Parts: sequence; C-alpha cells; structure tokens
Amino acid sequence: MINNQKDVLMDLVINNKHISIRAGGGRCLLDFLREDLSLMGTKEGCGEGECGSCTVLLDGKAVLSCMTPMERAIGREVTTIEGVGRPGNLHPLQQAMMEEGGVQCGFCTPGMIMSGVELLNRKSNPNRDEIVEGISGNLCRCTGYRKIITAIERAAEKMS
Amino acid sequence: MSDTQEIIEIKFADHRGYVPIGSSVIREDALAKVTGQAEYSGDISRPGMLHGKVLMSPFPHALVKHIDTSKAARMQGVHAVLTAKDIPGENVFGIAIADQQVLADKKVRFVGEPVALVAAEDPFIAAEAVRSIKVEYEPLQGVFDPLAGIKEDAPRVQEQGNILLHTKVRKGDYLKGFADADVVVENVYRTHGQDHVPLEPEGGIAWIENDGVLTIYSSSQYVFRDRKQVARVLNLPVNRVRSVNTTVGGGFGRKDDVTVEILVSLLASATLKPVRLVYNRHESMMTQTHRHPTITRVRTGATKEGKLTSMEGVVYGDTGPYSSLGIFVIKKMALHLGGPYYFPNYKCDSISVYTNNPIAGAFRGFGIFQSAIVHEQQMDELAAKLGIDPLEFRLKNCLREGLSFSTGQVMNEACGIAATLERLKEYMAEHSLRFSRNMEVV
Amino acid sequence: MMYKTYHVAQSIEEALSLLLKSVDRKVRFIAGGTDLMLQLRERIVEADMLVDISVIPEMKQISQDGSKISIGAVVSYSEMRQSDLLKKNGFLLVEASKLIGATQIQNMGTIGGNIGNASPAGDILPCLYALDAEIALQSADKKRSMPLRRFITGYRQLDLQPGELISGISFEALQPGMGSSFVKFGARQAQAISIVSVAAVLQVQAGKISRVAIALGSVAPTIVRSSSAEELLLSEQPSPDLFEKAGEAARDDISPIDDIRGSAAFRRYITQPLVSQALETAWRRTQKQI
Repeated sequence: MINNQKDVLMDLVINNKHISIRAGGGRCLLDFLREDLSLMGTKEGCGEGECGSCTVLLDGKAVLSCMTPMERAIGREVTTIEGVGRPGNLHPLQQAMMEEGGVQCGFCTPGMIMSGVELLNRKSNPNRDEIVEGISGNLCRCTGYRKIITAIERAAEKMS
Repeated sequence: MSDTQEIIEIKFADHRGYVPIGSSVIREDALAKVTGQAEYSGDISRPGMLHGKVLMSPFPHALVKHIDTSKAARMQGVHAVLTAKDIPGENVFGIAIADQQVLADKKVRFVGEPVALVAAEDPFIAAEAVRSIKVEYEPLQGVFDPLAGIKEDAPRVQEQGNILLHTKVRKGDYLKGFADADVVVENVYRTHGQDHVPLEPEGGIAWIENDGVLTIYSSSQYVFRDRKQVARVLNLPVNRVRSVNTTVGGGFGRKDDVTVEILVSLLASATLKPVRLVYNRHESMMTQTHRHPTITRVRTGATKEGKLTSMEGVVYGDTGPYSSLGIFVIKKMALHLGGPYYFPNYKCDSISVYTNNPIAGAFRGFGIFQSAIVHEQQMDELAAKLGIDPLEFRLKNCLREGLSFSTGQVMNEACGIAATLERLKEYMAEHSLRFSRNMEVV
Repeated sequence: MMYKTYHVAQSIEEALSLLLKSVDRKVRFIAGGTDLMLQLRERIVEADMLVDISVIPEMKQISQDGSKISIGAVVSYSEMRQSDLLKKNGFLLVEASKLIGATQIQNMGTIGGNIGNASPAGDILPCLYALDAEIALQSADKKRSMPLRRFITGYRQLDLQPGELISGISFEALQPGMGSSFVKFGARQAQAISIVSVAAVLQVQAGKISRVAIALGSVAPTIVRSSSAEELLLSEQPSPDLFEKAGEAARDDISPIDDIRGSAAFRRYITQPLVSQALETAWRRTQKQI
C-alpha cells in the first residue's frame, strides 16, 4: 500500500532536461511533478479538470496534469512553468503578465501562462476572441481576465 | 510637450517622494508568481512530513453515537487518528463567537463537519485510513431554512436556540413615514448562497520547533487571530504558537476565520512530526464558509414628488450551524438595507439564524451585496411607479453631507454618491444612453 | 495509488491480449483519461491495470474510403477540430469538438471516450446519431460493427462484450447540398456540460428538404432522434417558420429530467429555439457545401 515502491522508471524530458528516475507509479502527472521533482509551480485548484491551474505542456500540447497518468509522460517532453522562463530570462508572456497586472493572488498564473504559451506557439498573432477561447479552460477569481487577455496581446506583439 | 503631459507633471509635483501614486507599478510578488516560485500553503514541505486528512460528516444533523478508529490506527503508515476526545484544550473556535467545535463531539450540524483526523505517511494511506473509520450516527431532524429555524418547535441546531442575533435599527417614525407616502413598494427578496472558490483551497503545515514552539504556515487572512484560536484548542500559551502566512491564493473572506490551522496543529502535536493538510476542492466547498443566503421582506414609501419617506424591512440570514463572521454580516444588513439613500424614517430588523446548511461567513461585500439587490430594486420600482427617471429619483434621495444614515450618523465626509450619479448622468448624455421602461440602459 | 500498473499498448492486438491475460484483475483501457482519471480519484471506478490505447496508430486516424469517413477511437477533439476531411465531410463534428471543454480537454479527450462514457450530455454523440454513424468493435477473435444508436443501450450503458474494444466510428460523408450544425446550451460557452444540445443534418434538393436528421442531447437517458421534427420537415420547403415548428415538434420526443444543471421544464423550453437555430445554420450551410 505504501507508495514507496519506486516501481516505475520515469524516463522523460522535463523542461528541456532529460531525466531518468524511479518513482512510485499509479498517480497523476501533477503529483509526480510536485512530489517527486519538487516542481511546485504547477498547482491543483480543483483536481477534476475544471480550473486549468495544473496545465502543463505534453509534447507541446496543453494538458491537465491532474487528469494525466504520470506514466503517460514517459518518453515524452513535459514543460512546466519552471521551464517557460526564469528571473532574468523571462518569457515575453511572463513579463507582460507582470507589467499589465495580469497577476493578483497568482494561483491561476502558472496554468494561465501555460495556456497562453501554447496559444502563442500555435498562433503568432491571435485576436481577442482567439485569446479568450485559448484561456477559457483556466479560471481566475481575482483579475476578471481583462488584464490577462491584454498581457497575451502584448506578448504576441513583442514576439512578432 | 502636449497639454496633457504638462497637467500630469503638475499633478505629480504634489506627490514628490511618493513615486507609486499615479504611476503603474509592478507588484512586489509578481516575479515569483509568474515563474512559479511563489510558495503557497501546499507547496511547503519539511523532512519527515506527514499528510493530514479529515473525516467529514455525511449528515446535516445527527448524533454521534460511536466512533471506531481502531482499524485506521492499526494501518501501516498511519501515525495518528484523532477525535474530539483527543483535544488537549477547549474543543471550540470561531472568529467572532466561539461556537464551533473543532471535531464533532456529541453531534454533527452540517454535511462536511470534521469528525476525525488522520496523519499518515502518504496521502493515499491517509485517505484509506479515513475511509476505514466507522462512525455510528443517529440522524436528527434538521433546519434548512431560516424561516423554519425561527419557529418555536423547530429542531435546535445550537442548544441555546436558533437565533444567533437579532439587530434592530430604528430612526424616526416609520408608520408616519408610510402615512405620508403616496406610493409604497413592497417585495420579498431571496439571495442565494455562494462559494468564494479561492483558486487555492485552504491548506497549511505545522510542526514543533526545537524550542517547543508550535509553528504553523498557512494560507490565511488573519494570522494573529489564528494563533490565539490554535492556542486555546491546544491548551498552549499564545506565545508558544507561531503563525506565519504563506502566499495566499485568494481568500475573499473565506480565509478570515481559521481553516486548517487548528487541525494541522493537533496532528503535529500528536505525532511530533510536521503535518501538512490541504483540502481538495470538494472538501473545501463542503467544510468552509460561504456567502449568506438571505430572505428579505421590505416596503418602501415615497411622495409623488419623489421623496423617500420610510423604509421597513426584515432580513433573515441563513448563517449555517456556526457563527463564523455571520453575526456581523447579517447585522450589517439591518444598517445598510436602505443603501446610500436618505430615509427620514427607518425601521429594519435583521435576524441571523442557525441552520444545518453550509456555514456562512465573511465574503467580499459583507452583507452589502445582499442589501444592494434589495434597495436598488426598490428604487427602480418606486421610480417606475412615480414615472420619474430612475437616475433622477436616486439623485433626489441620495445621501449628501448633512443628511443622516439609517443609524442617525450624519454624513460629513466621504459621501460621494451624488457626485458619482452626476457623473453617470453626464456619461449617459455624452453617449446618448437612457433607461428604458424596464430599467435597461438603451 | 489510483491504479497499480500501467501499460502502453502499441497495437489493438496488444491491447486486447493485455485484457485477456488479466482476466482476474480489474483492467481499464485509458484514452484521454478526462473521465476515467476523475472516476479513479473519486473511487467510482477501481482498476489494477490501465492499458493506454492513446498511441495506437490505426486508432489515431481520420480517413476516407470512398464515401465512408472513419475516425479512430482515440482521435482527440483537437485533431477533429483541425481535420480538413471533417471540415469538408462532417462539419458538425468540428463544431462540436470546438465546444467541448476548452483547449486542454480538447487536447486530451477522444471521440471513443465520449462514446464509451455514453452520457446523454456527451457532445459528440448527437452529431454521430445525426450522421447515422456505425461503431466498429474489436475483440481478440472477431470484429463487428453496428449502428451507434443500437450500441448505446441506456444511460451510460453499452452493448460492449467482455474482451471488446471500441476501435472507431464511421459514417457516410456529407455530400454537396447537405449542411450540418451542432448547437449547445450550457452555463457558459467553454467548459460547460450541455443542458441541451442539438445536432442537425439537412439536405435540400429542388427547393425541398430531401434528407433531415435531428439528434438531441441531455434530454433523455440517451441521445434522441426527433422523428416528429424530421417527419414534419421532410419534403417541405425550408423556412425559418418551418424550423420553429420543427422545434415545437421536437419537444414531443424528449423526456428531460430535473438536475443540477437545469430543470425539465427549462430543457423542454430551450429545445425549441435550439432545434430551430441548428436547422437554420444547417440550411445556410447547404448553400456552402459543408
């Protein structure tokens, strides 16, 4: 019963770095990222696919890590908020979120940025409707979304 | 240099030395938050940390006849299973009135009320252990509506009776006010409950430091009151409890009262290990506070010239089985039912009633939101009945300096409603907007 | 742990043999996981082993064979959204895929999962009912297919045999002169479970409706084809007026319930405008050949 059997070899690329570690299987990717890799930026807001706080990129696609079995990441590439940009080397969207006031309590922010990054990777110049649709799987209780949408617009301008 | 730039510079000259005023600043914690480095309650861990889990009541109102924790206690990886009898101090908390039990003692009063606690080495074991606890309940008749709760023969949610607080606000002679009125509008309003849904559910971690001080890191709006409440339950002097706020992923009033602080402290103190407890969304919604559902009966009178003469109202607030901040939220409704309007005569009662519904507590607006629905709808209906433009009607009646509020307090500053309405009037004229008959802006 | 072991199957045969080899264990296939992972977490479903079927190449394709369009069971909503083949031959599936969940769910969830879940609120299902889709099933020793509406036997109930897997779904490509549409009503546009959904397929020849299919979701234990509305429309001249009447008629074919998302009365009420809206959109598209 105790989950310290380390029965699964997790061999994958995470934030552009290849890792190969043994871990207790049978959990969601979110728990593996947080508990085994201490990547705490990815958040659990609901655990049932409603809020988008746990969004990560799996082979470049935005997925909900709370509903992804951890073993599904084996042999693939996972990007979390920690891999998007670090202080001193921020992604344009991280910079824009700061400048536009798209961040308040910040709990939705990592997931929101992951959805925004996926959108910007897919579409270099999204219009407002496309941005709204792109982040519609991410809930925010503080900002009212407007400043987040503006931040994505601003980031798209900078990136083009 | 354009004119506007000049104006801005002049304006700023007055605030020299206060750089942020009038300028756009980046939040101190924005960098940590956009890079995922900000530490919320569930992000903090300690070596040897255990995971806490709560067994919650499935009944809204029931006697707790027997709790069998033996199977849970024997499970490998389980370090503690606690019930009410394991509490070292007083089994009570509450930010305004200490009327809430930490763990159900003789009876449970709402679905989601904590009954037992587990600390285990792994969240899955903790969940398994919680499931293995057998509780024998004897379901009781419950109170699910404040109007039912105030009846003589209603089941008692709290032993002292179901009325938590009855607030009475009186000004002038309300009956004379209605006698002077040419039109009267009378309505019943119901507002529903609401969950704050802070995106970060409640969570915290506690451990005992080398010097014996119980240390709690939690997602809280009020660490100083938290530590006092923890100290009472743990039977510790307040200076032996250190309460530290983590980054808070949204509160909106939800995290005003203690959430998990007492629970993690009990588990840390029983196991002498760090214990973290983070509610999942489901647990959070069941066991934490919400916005008060309310029922308001109100009548409002005005003269045919459009002057308000009187207001009479009674508010029933559904506070759930425990007070939390419900006592003040519903109290405020008696004061604010008239809104920012001048009533020469005013009589309002607000009654906060214990029920077996989810607990209600502080939530952005704090009773003003429920009041606003009432007074604004009353204003619209009066204006329509009198054939006066709703904006003009409000301008005729809004509080201004020198006029008194429902409590008799005379407004002598910060009374901006008239200026706001005047600006709205200008704005509507600039944009050729007006109110239609059914109060839509067209 | 939510499950004990996890296997990624590379072929249908491998997936089926894993299922056979583990007769005494609880085995579940996992595709997108958006329903299963939640059920495992809530312990509504228990599983010892998960067999991941999401990368099996032959189940990941959208293909055309003559007039028949086939969609593999693990094709995701995102893949359907982007499919040129579906844009041309089954636009309502593209439309429904856009309205399911949001980006993340669309990247994860699959058409086979939506079918296997057999919820009347599954948004792909009304589209497939309106297309008279056939389901393809496979077990270690045989393949079979049948109309989807016979495969789904009740609320969350399937005619799925032990050892069997949903491998795909197929339907006749929509022809020029046919239009299709999908509309739903939910608490909000994204991430909302349908209170009522409607899929419509319409063909107009010589000014008269020559083929029509209307399927409704969330109004009964399974998806409902509205024969009353279809009969009323057939051989008539399309018009907004007629579509409104068809919406009225559709109300006779449904048996909605009260639940947390909406009352039976509201579902009955909203069915009429949704049906008429779906028909008008489909009609408009008959002229655009989608």
